[in-house]
Amino acid sequence: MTSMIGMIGTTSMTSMIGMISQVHPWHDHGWAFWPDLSSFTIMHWMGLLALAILWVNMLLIAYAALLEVPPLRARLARLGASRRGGVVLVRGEVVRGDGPGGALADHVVDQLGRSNGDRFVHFHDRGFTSTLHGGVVRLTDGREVTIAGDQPIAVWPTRAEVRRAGACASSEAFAAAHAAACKARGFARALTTSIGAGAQVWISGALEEDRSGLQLHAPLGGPLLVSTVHPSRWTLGKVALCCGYAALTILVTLGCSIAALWPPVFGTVSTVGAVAGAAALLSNMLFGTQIRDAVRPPSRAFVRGAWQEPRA
Amino acid sequence: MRHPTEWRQIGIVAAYMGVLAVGYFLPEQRSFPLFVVACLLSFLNAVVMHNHMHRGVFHSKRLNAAWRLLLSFGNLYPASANVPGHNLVHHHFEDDGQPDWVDPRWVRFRWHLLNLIHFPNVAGPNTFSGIGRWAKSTRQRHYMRRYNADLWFGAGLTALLMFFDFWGALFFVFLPQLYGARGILRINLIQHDRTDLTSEWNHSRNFVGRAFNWIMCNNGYHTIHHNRAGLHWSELAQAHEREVQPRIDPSLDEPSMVRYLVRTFLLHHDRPPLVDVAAAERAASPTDLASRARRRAEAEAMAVEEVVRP
Repeated sequence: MTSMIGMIGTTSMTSMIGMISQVHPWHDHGWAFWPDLSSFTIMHWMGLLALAILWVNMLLIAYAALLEVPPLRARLARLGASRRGGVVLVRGEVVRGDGPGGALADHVVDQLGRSNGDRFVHFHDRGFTSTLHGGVVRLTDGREVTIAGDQPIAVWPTRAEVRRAGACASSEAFAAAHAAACKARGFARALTTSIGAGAQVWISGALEEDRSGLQLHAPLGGPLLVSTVHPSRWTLGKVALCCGYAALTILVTLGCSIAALWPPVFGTVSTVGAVAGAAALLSNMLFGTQIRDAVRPPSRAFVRGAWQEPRA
Repeated sequence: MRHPTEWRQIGIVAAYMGVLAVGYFLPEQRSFPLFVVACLLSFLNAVVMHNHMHRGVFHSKRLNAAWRLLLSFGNLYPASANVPGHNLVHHHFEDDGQPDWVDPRWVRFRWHLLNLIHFPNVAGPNTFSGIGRWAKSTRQRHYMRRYNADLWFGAGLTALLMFFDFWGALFFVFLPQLYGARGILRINLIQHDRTDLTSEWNHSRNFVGRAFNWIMCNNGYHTIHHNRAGLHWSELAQAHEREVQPRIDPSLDEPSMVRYLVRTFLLHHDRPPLVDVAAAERAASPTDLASRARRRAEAEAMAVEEVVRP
């Protein structure tokens, strides 16, 4: 991975220097590839330093995004779409759940709500838990499979399901939450998203058949996955996101650098390139957490959210 | 001023502003040594900002506010960001179940030098994202007004300088500003990596050189600063000797930051291994230090109202 990033950076810089040396007056000095450094002023050197700072940091940002890919690919391999190691990925409908309210499994986010006295209660996440109650799932081929409770599990609900589960139920509920949220201890709640009868699910686990019928177990060394999100598509989407972000970061940096070095340097195009480069680096301060947050698995994806006082 | 030693901090910031002015207004004086000096002073500006946001330099609220604006320009980020980012979140590590926005574990490259370079690219976004969430429910009066004032003053003045001389401002104002801002984020990695963040006395690395601490306004004494955040920076050296030294692992009292940086990031490729550094405090006698939960509660209560300490 490091060598790939280094190669991309070196190739880009070499191409840039080559391009500039062809159009820049440096070329007239007979240096077809390398500028005449003796004509450089302090501003030229500072410009190169600024470019170097930009490239080093943007390459690191791209590299960090690409480092998210191997764990995603490993997760994809563990899902069982290729039936490796006896692990399968199956799709079906929940027939029966053995938990409260007929739930097969629950996704729980421990949250704390706070308010400064205005019309909102803002939640932040303190912990994530997946609980398996057990039940029966009918697969797409008609077979029914039993899932025993009390196994390690990861529950992947959709964002829409979690939002629905976390919505404010009534003005009375808001009032109670708001009163606690205005105090130092805050308003604690366990936001529970249940997967119950009728839900369309994907399950990744070890499929076994015995006298009592088909059973799905947690695979060796990992949890059972119960998901209302297509897990393979989700994972592949995140791989594409990370690779796309890394590529975009490098392309933007390359574009800004070409513009910044456009002759005459320190001219209008060059200035626009420098502004864009500075903006690109600073924009990471505003948006830099988004990729990392986006690749968190749905069992641990940030929920947060807020309640607004219902209008009378 | 609230303490006679504050002249040192005022002198640092005055020197920094002077160097920025020379670099911007006197093109014939622009040079690489000037740039290096500007960067070093920018880092010290961030240190002064850290001290000021713990405990204001002046008695007057107006002067403190004006000072805050100037410091915000110095590092191109709002000084008020230090209140949630540093005072309330970082000082309590993960004690309240929330991740520290500047925890060293956010960076995980195998080549440890890359962690040092990349750390601001992670800690910075963590901090700004976290502040956005924190600000929605803080009971600290007028926080967002102060934050926005810091932000717009710093960014606005920088933009104005760029409008009249873009390249001069970019190289001799903007780059030093960034160096200091990113440096003060980076210092979190240097001060806390491979320490025991759950311990009482071994959660921080200290740099105890006398000359270093004179310039850095005693910010090398980081353990005692965490444990007694209300202490004035001029009192940290004696408090470190009295309370920290009997309880800290000797490896966390580094004589020289330069030697530490060279040894850790240049002479070695990988991150240092984890070591049980808290053994020293288990053997030491107890102190009157309040529990971390109580210190956190006190800090949060103090932050609700802007308080001028006597």
